[in-house]
Order: sequence, then structure tokens, then C-alpha cells
Amino acid sequence: MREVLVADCVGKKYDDKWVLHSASLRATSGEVRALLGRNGAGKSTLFRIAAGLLAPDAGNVRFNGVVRERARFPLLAREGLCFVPDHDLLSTSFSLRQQFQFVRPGAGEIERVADRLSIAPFLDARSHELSSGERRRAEIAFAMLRRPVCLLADEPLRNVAPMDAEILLGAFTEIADAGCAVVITGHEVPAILAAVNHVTWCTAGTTYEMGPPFMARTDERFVRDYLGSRGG
Amino acid sequence: MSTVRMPAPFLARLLFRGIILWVLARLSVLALAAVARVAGISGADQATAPGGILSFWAVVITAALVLVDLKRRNELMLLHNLGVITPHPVLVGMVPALTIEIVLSVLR
Repeated sequence: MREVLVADCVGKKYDDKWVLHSASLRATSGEVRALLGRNGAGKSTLFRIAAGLLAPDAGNVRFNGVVRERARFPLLAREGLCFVPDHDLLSTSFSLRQQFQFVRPGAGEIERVADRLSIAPFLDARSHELSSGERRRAEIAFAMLRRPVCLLADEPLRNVAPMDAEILLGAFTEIADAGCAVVITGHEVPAILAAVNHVTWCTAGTTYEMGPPFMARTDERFVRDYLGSRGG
Repeated sequence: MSTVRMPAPFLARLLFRGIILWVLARLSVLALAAVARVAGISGADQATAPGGILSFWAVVITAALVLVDLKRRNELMLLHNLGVITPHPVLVGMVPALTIEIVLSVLR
């Protein structure tokens, strides 16, 4: 396993106020990692910096072993980074099948991935005709077809039914098993902790490497300040 | 890795949209020029002629509309994921406006 993406000691300030300081994010091939944290903790900012969508005020991003002072997402995407934002990724002007063809998949690959993510009946529909769960599955299908070396998915389980969440988390594991480095964020703690290999906790603008989920669950501060009394 | 070029269906769609957005941009520019004429601002007639300063603004407004339209349709992030940088689709969407304005100024 190798570190594909490393956002190292990243800092970001808005109007002289540091919202992130010495925060780090690592994506390792073959692993699904979770970046967890309360709302406003800075995880989306860290995620966007790691993806090259936002410039850091301190630290740097290393992708495929190359340090970038100012990483830009489309250029990282050419090298295999895929970013699924927390809002719609797919165009409303083209059918799912048309958009999947943009990544030039192999013969029969679209149908295989569509079956895997239970979106086969919607291949000729447009994204705005789908429910939020179907749309999320379609977005991850797009990511899967891209065969990325690193996938960052921001809150992929938001507003989806438990069944959809199960399908999505299974897909992330499958993508990681193919050698991709996967990092997801979200607040669906039990489902996420059951599916990931590693947890990074973002709190008060910095990050802590919690290790595997069972280690995170036994960390007193993580339980007290993030999971709460019900333990997530 | 996957393609860096913009997909052909996207190119065709952008060129088609570019024509519609140029019409919108031209109409808004002509409306502004008509207001200027009514207000008695000198040079309004000359400016609205093809090749004039308003041709330039028609192309600039078209580019802005192309960008807004791409965002409205969730297409910027999709293109970024394909490795396409933002100026690329905007320039493609500007091509019809630029071509039509040049043709009109030559025919003038």
C-alpha cells in the first residue's frame, strides 16, 4: 500500500482567522478512509484543499509522489484523482449512459457497473429525473468507471436510504480493492465505521489519526467530543 | 488514465448553446444601445454596428453566460473530473459568437 494523496500540515485562513491549522489527510491505495468531524470542524475545507479546489495558506499537497504548492483539481484529475462533491456531480443535460461514455469504458463495463450499483433501469434517464439515492449511486458509478487512483467523496451517504448507503459503501470497498485510495466524509457514523479501514478525526481545525475504527471507538476524546453519549 | 479531451457530444452541445447565448447577449447589448440612443448618448449608432465596441461586449457577455450555464447544469465539476480546465468549455462556447460577429463585420 502506498500513500497516493497527502495533504500535509495544511492551514487555511479566512479574514485572518485560521479555520485549519496543521491539518493532514492521507489517502492510501487499497484502503477506504473516513474523515470524520462535527459541522464546522474544517473537514470540507481540508477535503477541498486536498482535491486542489482550494488553495492552502500553509502546507502542501502531494499527489502521486509529487509535491504541489498549488494543486489544481482538473490537472490532478488527469493523473487519476476523482472528486465527488456533496452536491450534484452529473449534468442534467445528458443521460447517465452518455455521461458514463465520456470516460470511455470498456465493452459491457457500463452495464456491469450499473448492475452493481442498481441503476441499470435509469441508464437512459437524466440525473434530475432520479431520486437523491439513485443520483448518488449514479455518481459513484461514474467514479467507478473512471478507474481513479484516488477517490474523494464528500458526504456520499447524505440523504440516502440505509439500503442505498449499503450499496454505496460496498462500492467504495470494491473500488479500493481494485487498488484505488478512497476517502469519504459523512455523519452516518455506524455505517461508515463498519465499512472503512482507517479514521481521521477533524476537530477544531486540525486532525488526528485515529487508526482503525475499533481504535477510534475506544478513544476517550473522540467518543466524548464527536460520537457523543450514544456512541454514534 | 481517462481522457483529457472534451467529449465530442459535449463539444457539439456547447457550440449549439453558444449560438443561443450569443443571441441573448446580442439582444441585451442592442437593448442597452437603444436605451443609450433614447438618452441621446453620442456614438450609440456606431457602437451597435457589427465590429463596433458592442460586438466585443456581445462576445464577452456570451462567455459569461456560457460559464453561468455550465454551473447551472452541474457541468463544471463533471468536466473537471475529466481533466478539462474551466477556460476550455468557455472558449468553445464563445466560438459561435466570435465567428458570427466577425462574419457580420466583414459583411458590413
